[in-house]
Order: sequence, then structure tokens, then C-alpha cells
Amino acid sequence: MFLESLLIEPFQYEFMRNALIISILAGIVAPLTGYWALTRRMVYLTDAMSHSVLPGVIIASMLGVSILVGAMGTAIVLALVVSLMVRKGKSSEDGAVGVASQALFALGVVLASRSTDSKSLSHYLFGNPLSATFTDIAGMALTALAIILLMLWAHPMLIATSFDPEHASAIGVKVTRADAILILALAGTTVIGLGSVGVLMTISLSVGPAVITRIFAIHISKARFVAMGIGVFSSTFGVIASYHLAIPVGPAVALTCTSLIALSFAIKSFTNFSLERTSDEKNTEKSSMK
Amino acid sequence: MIAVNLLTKNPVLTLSGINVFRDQFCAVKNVNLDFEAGELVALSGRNGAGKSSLLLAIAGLTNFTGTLKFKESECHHGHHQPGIGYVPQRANLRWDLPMRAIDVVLTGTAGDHHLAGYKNKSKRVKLAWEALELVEGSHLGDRLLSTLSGGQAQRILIARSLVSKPEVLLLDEPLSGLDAPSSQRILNLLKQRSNEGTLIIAAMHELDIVQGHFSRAVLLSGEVIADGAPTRVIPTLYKNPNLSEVTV
Repeated sequence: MFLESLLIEPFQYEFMRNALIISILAGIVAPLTGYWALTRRMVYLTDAMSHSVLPGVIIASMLGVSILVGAMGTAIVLALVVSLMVRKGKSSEDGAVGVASQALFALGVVLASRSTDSKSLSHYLFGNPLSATFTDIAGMALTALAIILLMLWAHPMLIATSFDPEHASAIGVKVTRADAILILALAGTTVIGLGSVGVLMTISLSVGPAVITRIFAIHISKARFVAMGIGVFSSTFGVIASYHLAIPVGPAVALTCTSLIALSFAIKSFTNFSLERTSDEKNTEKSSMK
Repeated sequence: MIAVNLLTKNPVLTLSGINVFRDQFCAVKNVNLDFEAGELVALSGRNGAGKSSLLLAIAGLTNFTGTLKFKESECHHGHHQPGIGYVPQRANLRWDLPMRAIDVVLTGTAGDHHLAGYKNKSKRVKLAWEALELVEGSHLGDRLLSTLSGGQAQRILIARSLVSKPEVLLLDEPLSGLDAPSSQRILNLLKQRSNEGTLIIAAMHELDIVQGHFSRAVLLSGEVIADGAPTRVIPTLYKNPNLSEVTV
């Protein structure tokens, strides 16, 4: 009975089911792209991008076109402005990202304040999956599928360019293409995150699960899938917690994810637990069995 | 130039009037060199002499003017030349990533498959293990990168370049930071590849090793200062104080 009221009761309402689907989509895609953002030291760019897509999303919403198009457009604007500031203005990359993303975010807030759109600014900032419609879900599911396929396809290229971009370039891998693919995937992830946890907390669902895989030194081939599992768990737990505690879904998901990071640190500190074993450990195990 | 250029009959690599640029700065100018298959060549000179820049130009990784030919085909900046392998300085790489040594060797095959990453996976894995065997590193394949010593890491990087069976192997300071046994192991490996016909060109600071193990030395100081047998070329460094910032 207790389990039923805990796990089943929230989903007797359609808006809760929709919220769960959208949050799970975000829980799958955000850790997948976030894993590479962490691996390639692009976490700051990811955070900046989640803020800077706001004006594109609001303009798209005002014009009645897909918010994905708006988000991609703003991501491209951010990339071009940062590139221009670094190349022509001799600015540092993080400085350029910081300035450009904040300018775009401020523009987004101004546009939102003038918009007659039914969705308020807080919808975008903190997410509101409870208001998701079937069309929203269908659009996000297609976006999620496209991102998953893109990331699977680019996997070998991303590994080669993450470990040693110079050598990857020497053997003909296009490093800029790998960066461009990841930036596009991150922009798409922001759109999905926007419907779930909102632009301000997308980063927690993107990078949080990846951080946990790094704590336990999980191998790069499995880490993405483990991160996606953690993302789905955080999303599901967050949605259920939001119902029972009467708190917003976005912060509930973000807090679940960050609590798991804290728990992981504690487990690692006290037990030195690792899912990966070195070949030496395997050999030791084999010899002790003989 | 102090020593006379070695006359080569059938050069596998030809550099004619090469000027190498790093950003807008000309790091090395007017390089004219021919290299034959099987040579074991050391590029020596002080820090900033242009050793790494010249290697990057040959690997197609930095801008240059002049004519650079690999056998009959002309090489250009930004264009991948399949017959040329490049081993960068290992200190600059991401050894913190949760990968095994075999994964790194496998990235040596990524260039051929960057549009279809999963094509011929089993063949690529087989090639990677064969390359590891060439550097006597089969037992290292399953090791996490963070557990490798400097010498083991260097062998892994060499294996990664050998996956594509290059005819020219470029190495940037391959012995930097290694102890004597590890250095000797890498040198034996390079000699073995050289004896099997691979042209080896390595940026080297260790002049005693260059004299003892290499067949040819090229001294750089923004341009080629000397080129020839190490026993004739290396003393040039001792005589010229401006070129002496190297380990002897």
C-alpha cells in the first residue's frame, strides 16, 4: 500500500505522467552530452550555453516556430561571437564565453518581459514539465533520439580528440567537427532540459551523473550508459519527490542529482569502492583462486 | 651550415625551402633536407630552436611555406598524410581519462573511420593489439592510463602511431623524463623500426644518446646549423655557446 501510494499514485494524473516522460528524456540525453562536456573540459561552456539559448527560444516561441531552431540559432551566435572575441579581440576563451553568454541571457530576460507568450520567464528558468503537452513531448522525444544517434556516431571521434586532439588531427580526424557536433548536441540538450529542469539547472543533470562516473573511475565505454542510468533515476526520483513534497520538479531533480554526487563522494572516501579493476587486480584475483 | 648535407639517393621525405610558422611567427626558416627510408635521425638544438615546429610541419599540423614531399606526393598543412606517423610529447595528453591502454592505441585507427566509427571494429581492435605487441606492450593493454609509468606510456603512444604502419615516424622528445632502462627500451624499439625500413625523426635533447644511437643528427637554431653523422655534428654544439642549452 505504501509503495503504491508512493510510486503509483502520482501518475494517475496525466500531467504527472507527461512530467515523468519529459524528465526521463532529459535524464537520458543530458548526461550523455554532459559526459563529453566534462571529459573535454567544456563544463563552463555547457553552463553558459544553457543560459544563452534563452533569447532564441523566446523569439522562436513568439514567432511560432520550433524552439529547437531558436536554441540552435542562439548556440551558433554564441559560438561565432566567442570565436570572434578570441581571434580578433585577443580575449581569453572563458572570458569571451562569460561575457557573450551573460549578454544573451540578459537579452532573453528582456525579451521575456516584453513577450505575450503564455509561458512565463520562470517556466524557462526553472522548468515546468507539469505543463507539457503531447506536442512538446513528441518534439523533445525526436530531438532526444537525434542527439543519441549523433553522439553514438561521433563516439570514436570524440574519444580520439579528447585524449589527444593534436594526434587526432594528424591522422585526419576533424577536431573542429567533433567540437561542432558536441556544441550542437549541447544546444539540443538545453532545449530538452528547458522543458524539464529549466535553463538554470540543466547543468546539474548534464554534468552531475558524469561527475559520479569519474568518482568511481568507470571506463569511458560504460560511463556514458551509467551516467544515463543515474540521470533517469534522478529524474524519476525528482518527479515523485516533487509530487509528495509539493515542490517544483526542476529543483527536485537537480537536488536529487547533486545529493547522489555527495553520496558518491562519501562512499568513495570511506570504502575506496571502484567499478573498474586494473589487470593487476584481475591477475591477483586469478592467482588467489588457484 | 657547418656540416655537409648527407646526399640521399631515394629520399622518402624531401623538404625544400621550408619555412615553418607558429601563429604568425616564423619558427624555422629555409630548411632543405632529404631523408631516406631506414634512417634514424635526431633533431637537436636548444629550447625554441624549432625542433617541435619542424616535426609539426612534416605531420601537417602547422602552417609552412616551401615544398614538402612524402615520396612523390606533396604534403600540405591540414591534410592528413597516411604514411606519416606522429608521436607528440606525452606530458600534454589526457592521462587522467578513464581509458585503458588499448583504447588509446585504438584511437590510432580513428582517422580512417571518423565518418563510420563502428566499421571494421574487430579488424581495428586486432590491428591495435598487433601494434601493442610490436612495442612489447601486450600485457599493458588492459591497464588504466593512470597506472602506466612514463616509459610504458611512451610505448603506448608509439604503438598508437604504428597501427597505421607508417613509413615515417616523427617523435617529439620521446625520452624526456624517462629513466635509463626505459630510455634504452624505447631506443631499441626505434632502432628495430629503423632496421625494418621506417624513417625515424626524433626531436632530442639528450646529446650523448644521439651520438651513441642515431645515424644522423640535424642541428637547429631557427634554421639548420649542421647536418650529418652525430659524431661530427654534435661537437658543434659544444663549440657554440649560443646552442648549448641542451642536456649532455
